[in-house]
Amino acid sequence: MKIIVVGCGKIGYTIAKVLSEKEDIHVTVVDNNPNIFNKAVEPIDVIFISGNGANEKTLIEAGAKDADLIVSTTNADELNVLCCIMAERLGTKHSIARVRNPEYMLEYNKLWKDLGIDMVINPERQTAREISRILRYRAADDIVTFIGERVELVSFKVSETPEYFVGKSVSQVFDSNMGILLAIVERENQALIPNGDFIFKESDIIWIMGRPSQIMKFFTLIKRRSKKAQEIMVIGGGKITHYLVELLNRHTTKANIKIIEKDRNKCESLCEALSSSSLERHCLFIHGDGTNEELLIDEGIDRMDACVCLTDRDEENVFISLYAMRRGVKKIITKINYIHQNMAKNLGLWLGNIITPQDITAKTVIRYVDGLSGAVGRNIITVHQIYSGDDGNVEAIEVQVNKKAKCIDMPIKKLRLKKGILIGCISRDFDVIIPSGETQIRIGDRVIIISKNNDIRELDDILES
Amino acid sequence: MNYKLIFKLIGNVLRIEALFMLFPLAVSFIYGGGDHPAFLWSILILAAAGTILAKLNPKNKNFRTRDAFVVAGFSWIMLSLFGALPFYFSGYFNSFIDCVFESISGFSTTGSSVLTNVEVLPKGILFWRSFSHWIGGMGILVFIIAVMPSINASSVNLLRAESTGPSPDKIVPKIRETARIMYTIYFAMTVILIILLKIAGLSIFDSFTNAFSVAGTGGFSNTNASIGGYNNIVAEIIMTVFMFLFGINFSLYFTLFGRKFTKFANDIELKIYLGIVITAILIITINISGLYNGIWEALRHSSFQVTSIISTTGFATTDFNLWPTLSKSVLIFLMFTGCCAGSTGGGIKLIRFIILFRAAKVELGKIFHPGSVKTVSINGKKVSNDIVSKTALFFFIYFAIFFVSLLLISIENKDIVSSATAVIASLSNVGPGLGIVGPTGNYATFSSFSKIVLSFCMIAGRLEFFPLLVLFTPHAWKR
Repeated sequence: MKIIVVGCGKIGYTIAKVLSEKEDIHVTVVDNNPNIFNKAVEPIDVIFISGNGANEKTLIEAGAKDADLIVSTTNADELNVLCCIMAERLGTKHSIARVRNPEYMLEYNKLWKDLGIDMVINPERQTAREISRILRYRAADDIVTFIGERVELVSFKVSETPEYFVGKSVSQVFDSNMGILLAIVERENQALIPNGDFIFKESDIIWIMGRPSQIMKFFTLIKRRSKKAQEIMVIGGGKITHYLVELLNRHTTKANIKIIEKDRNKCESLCEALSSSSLERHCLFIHGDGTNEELLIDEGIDRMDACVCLTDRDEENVFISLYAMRRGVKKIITKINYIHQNMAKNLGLWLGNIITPQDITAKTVIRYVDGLSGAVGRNIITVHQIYSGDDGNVEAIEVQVNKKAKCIDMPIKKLRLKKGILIGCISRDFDVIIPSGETQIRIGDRVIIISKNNDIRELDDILES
Repeated sequence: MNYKLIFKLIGNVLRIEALFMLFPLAVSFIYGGGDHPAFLWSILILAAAGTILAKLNPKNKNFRTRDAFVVAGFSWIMLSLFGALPFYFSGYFNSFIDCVFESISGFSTTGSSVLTNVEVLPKGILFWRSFSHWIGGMGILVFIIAVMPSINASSVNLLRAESTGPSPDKIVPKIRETARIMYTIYFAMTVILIILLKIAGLSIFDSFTNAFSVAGTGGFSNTNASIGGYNNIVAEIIMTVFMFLFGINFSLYFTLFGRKFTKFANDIELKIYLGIVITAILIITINISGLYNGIWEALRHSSFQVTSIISTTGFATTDFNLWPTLSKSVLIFLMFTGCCAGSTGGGIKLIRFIILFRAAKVELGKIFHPGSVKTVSINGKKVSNDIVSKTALFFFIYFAIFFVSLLLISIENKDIVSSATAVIASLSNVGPGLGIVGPTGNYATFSSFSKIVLSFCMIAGRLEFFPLLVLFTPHAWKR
């Protein structure tokens, strides 16, 4: 598949890098700054063309006539839209434009379609959506949903409720009739697929899978509180904050949000933009510096359920998060743009949730690309990367079982699975099955597979060849 | 430096070399020259050494630019040293230094020999000499990128370190795909050449070996009088055409598959290449017409010699040592320029001359209009200042190495023409020079010390200096 990525900033680079790592995807990067090549593009497996992405010659040179997808990610919304329209007219089959000005957000996606744009990505809005999702599910640190939200894959840290895990084995903690499947355990920059005798340690991060209700029960059992965040402090008042407040208002009307922003004009324009909705009762805009300790104490950081750091500077975000953690805030979300996530983790700064807008956007684009390539006969419904570290990646893959599969109608224990493969939940006729050794996969099922470092394109790829 | 990764890759280079050596082994069995034990032992040693090194398990699998350059320089030295083993075991060479010289001359596609009589060599050894040209022409690291699945994106630096030209780059987004396309074009053109030479009347063995020499722009042949020994006009014409073709940038051939014919025809380097070849042929034909029976025979020899020298192959159909000075000067000029970047040929490469000519023109313009702003561009694309200064630096290094080597060679007091052309012919990977190293001569009379200096020139020239020079910097050996 041929893909053109226009603009090689944070977002464009991340998208190009992740896409180019796939075997059959050929990526061409277009950017009008030729020096980008030496700085960023050289180490990734793409071709670089310098030029304006909306220039006809540049587009043709980049192969727009027979490309499958163009992703335009420059700073300028208008340029992105123009790039996509031109490429589409030249013959590119699909197009994704980055549009982030809230005033351009359309109510009807059909209008974009009429313009020839298949998908609009808005990193700020997607980041806000991610944050609001984390705020809503306070019990889990991260959450991925499958089969129309009937199955959830959630992660949590052992260190918060160590008494239930440390020194115990998997079979002691997880009972087969709990309806919960232990997927992977992250330990010291490694992802492990545990067996029954696996002993938990305090630093572990556990991923479990099951129905939402069962997971809720499990969390009650281990006394993890799961109520929603009521008092939220947001530091920084940019575009993400705008979208976040809108989203939180839509979902949790009860939450009280305090927004601290340094720039008075930004404060006022944000207040103005959001005043039309019914938010005013729940929102408080404060003009002040988020790194000012007195201000934070005055505004009651000790009482907060959650603290979201969204300033433009990574250092400030990390600092405020560390401070909030010290003050006992339970849920902390930190936006990081430049510092590498793993670097923050290696420093031992486990800040709760780290959010990187470019990664979130890249994931959306990759899901779209997977959809394009998976559309014909491959039956992969979604792929979520849930872990990425020194020892590789772990993906959770939802597969529709069709007639051709070799591994159907056989007890799972008899299948010769590849290393690093775990069969997760099976959904059959509105029922969710946690598989045991005797369970059989049948035609029509949807299966969720946990795969570490395997390239899964269809169900039979899980078998040892 | 990531030593484990470097040595693992070198291990793989050696294993691939062992695989390649199976071909001359088969040839030696078919023709029964009695040289098969030499290959059997060499393959055994290569496979053992390669497997031990390839077993290394580096933690970090990413190549930095510096790693790639060290790998390229080091693996070419190892490739040549181990490639000398069959020569050594066969017993036809006087010393191990001679064997290494012959092997380096093979892999660097130079084609200069230390043997006074190649016609007595067994077929297996002859085949290995020519086959090493073919391997060295496109490069063994490019081959590894094409076939080894564990190579990742950062290996683009390997491709850069081994390919020729000021800014070698990928022709399709995927590095492995690029390497495969390059080798496919190379392989296909070689097969066509083999078939044509067979039709022209060469024996099947001569068709293969000469095709390998032409494809890699090497120059080893199976007779003492080079191609002149066959006295086959049709074969000469075929080789003339193919030597010219192998001197063209391979990524241009790829544009033909994309039906971008105008891009092919408008390529400035190709135009200049063609122009220089035609001009040189005309000058030499007129200049030497008195020496031969008529204009046609003069044309036949001049066209063969010109394409042979500019593509840095180094085949000969006649002794151009006897030509007038003008013709010899033209040939020396062609030895310096070489052919196009991204081809299998050597030399400074025409594109570098074009870049510097245009840069000089811009600088001259600035004398009259100090405020004028003009950029150097090639094929409508701006050439960055970085590349211009790297190109100028390349010239400096070329001539610096040339003069230092000339001084070292001169210690043994050979005449200046022979010494100077021997160094040029080695640096540009041509092979024969003038004087005692002319087309009918050889490098046998040089001392071992001079042979080592010339061997260094050959590898340095093939890798375009930087990969080999980094091995001599202290940074390369620091952790």
